[in-house]
Amino acid sequence: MWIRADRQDALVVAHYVGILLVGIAAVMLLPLVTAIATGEYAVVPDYLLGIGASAAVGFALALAPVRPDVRVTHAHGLLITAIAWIAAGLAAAFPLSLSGNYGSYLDAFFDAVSGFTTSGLTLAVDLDHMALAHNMWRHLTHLIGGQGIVVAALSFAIGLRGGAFSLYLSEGRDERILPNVLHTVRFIWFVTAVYVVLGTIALSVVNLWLGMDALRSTLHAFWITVAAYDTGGFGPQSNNTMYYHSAVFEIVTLFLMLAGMMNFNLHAQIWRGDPKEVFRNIETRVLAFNMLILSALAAAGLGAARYFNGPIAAFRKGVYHIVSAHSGTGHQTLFPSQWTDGYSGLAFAAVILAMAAGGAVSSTAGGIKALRLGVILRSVLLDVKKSISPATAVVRARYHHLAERLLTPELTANAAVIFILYMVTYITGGLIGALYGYPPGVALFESVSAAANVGLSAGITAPAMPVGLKLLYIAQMWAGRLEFVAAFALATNIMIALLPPYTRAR
Amino acid sequence: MRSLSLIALAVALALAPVGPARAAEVRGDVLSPAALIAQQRRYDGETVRITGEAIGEALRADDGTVWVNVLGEGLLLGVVIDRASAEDIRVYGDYGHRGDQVLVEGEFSISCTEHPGETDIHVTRMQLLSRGETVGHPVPWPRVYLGAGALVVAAVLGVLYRRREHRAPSTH
Repeated sequence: MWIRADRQDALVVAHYVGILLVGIAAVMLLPLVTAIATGEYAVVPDYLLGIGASAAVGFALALAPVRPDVRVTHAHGLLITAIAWIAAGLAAAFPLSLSGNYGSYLDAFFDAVSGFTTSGLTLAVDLDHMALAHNMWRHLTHLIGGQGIVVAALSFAIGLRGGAFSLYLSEGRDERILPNVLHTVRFIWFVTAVYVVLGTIALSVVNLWLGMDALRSTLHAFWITVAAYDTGGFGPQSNNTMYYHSAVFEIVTLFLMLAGMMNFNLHAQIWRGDPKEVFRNIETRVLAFNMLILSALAAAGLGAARYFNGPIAAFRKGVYHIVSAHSGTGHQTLFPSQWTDGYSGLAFAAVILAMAAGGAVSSTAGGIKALRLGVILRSVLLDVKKSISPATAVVRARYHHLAERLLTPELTANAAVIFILYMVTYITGGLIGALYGYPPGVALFESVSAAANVGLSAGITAPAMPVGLKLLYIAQMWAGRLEFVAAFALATNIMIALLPPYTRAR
Repeated sequence: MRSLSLIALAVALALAPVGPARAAEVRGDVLSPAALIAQQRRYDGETVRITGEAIGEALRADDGTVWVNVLGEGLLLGVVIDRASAEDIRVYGDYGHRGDQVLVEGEFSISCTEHPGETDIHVTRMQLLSRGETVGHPVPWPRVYLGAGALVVAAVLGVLYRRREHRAPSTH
């Protein structure tokens, strides 16, 4: 028998979603200030409307009459997170839809969801003539979403009535870094701030050397830093990081992507003066192994094809995309059609595998995640060892992830469930794309890119894409970012509400 | 006779284009960057002609050359051009400007050997088709009024929310 949510549950969810919408409105002040500072006065009303509408709806929801004794439970956390991410996307899309750079509100919503989920797929039109303020907003969605919309609110302890840890976990984060969850989220922001400042300075220097003026140097540097470290992948120009034609620029973004795909716990260990954890940790070992193998495959594929052979080209087109795919960033130094025309099948497959695998847990990366892959691999080896050991032998497996841990059946089962969910999502999205008439390999590439929140595009994602695919990829980006649990919780509650005979009240 | 020939040759040389990519009339099929990339294998290693809008700014390439990103039919392609010729481009496209429309001719490479990892055109000739211009964006006053109204509503609701939160006991 399923437990049916009651009125108070709905009011709790409404209250917190409202608080988060007010937070989104507050962040919109930054592009508003950008518009005023750069003289883009025609854009100012877009953000006045966006701030006003988001704050008005937010405060209206926050006024939901929640009883003072009601506490936020884990179930509430899942629903709040699932709905907040959709609501935030709808709110963020509002000013974008007024920009003239999107064909419809749906396209603007697609970009907003892509931004918050740090996917990076885009339906923007005429990006090269977009206002600086709108580009600021697009990239800020990466910054907020990369750390987590709910995490962002937690870090300011906005309107909390308890349940901080439930909210934190429901956003696809498995681990606490510090004993207090509020300290954990503030630490995450601290690490982010350090990398954003360092990356912005480094890329500003590169841009100035390339010949950009001071304003564009700094803005581009900030945006690309945020996109790389938060593994989002948006860029201010339509040819993404190809715009700069600079291997040095790409190398800086490479370091930022690698930093962004690391578990925040690893960052904490480094800050605590224990960098050896980086080498002992099962996640970094899996990631290093994967990236090495897949980079070799990509380089071999490029070498076999006529194009992009030679060590420098293989690095800029092969290794760069393996790191971009693995980290879930999606920064792209190829034209979309070049994935299937000039890139080689072997390298193309290596990139798909890298996207599917993803980065570390508790990072800004997407995908199945290195810890789960490591656990599954260890479980397979354990089963093999058990099968060749005497029946009376006690065979156990351990792994190192911040501490020595025992591999348990529960852990393996959890990892396997998420692995299966991702694989089903990847394949289903690929099949649907093929049903729409796209080549199966390209459809699979795009589906994996959306569900793993990567953002590399082989050409399907475009304003002329069928509406059904736009909605599919939005759902994949959303569900993938929340690692499915919150999405399933919402879907289940909706079904329960529609099927009362099979449910009971709390 | 010989003197007249020498004088004629000197005049011809003096009037000849300076530098390898000065503005000059180019002939033949002209593609957009998007059309070129769509048929990249066909044109790899060939001399091509593309037309499009210069975007952003000229960016340092090698000694004496710069990158210019040319936009056509929604695709932005980098071309390498000598610095002196690039100075003919005065308006680059961005939010406030429509950039100069240029027609460039040069060798197209999917994988450039001089710039490993780049898909580019090494420009040998450039022609300025039309000068760019400032693009005006008038302030949409109806949106300003609507925005102000929305802010007033948000402010009222915000005050109501704060009053309720001050009255209600918090629980953790």
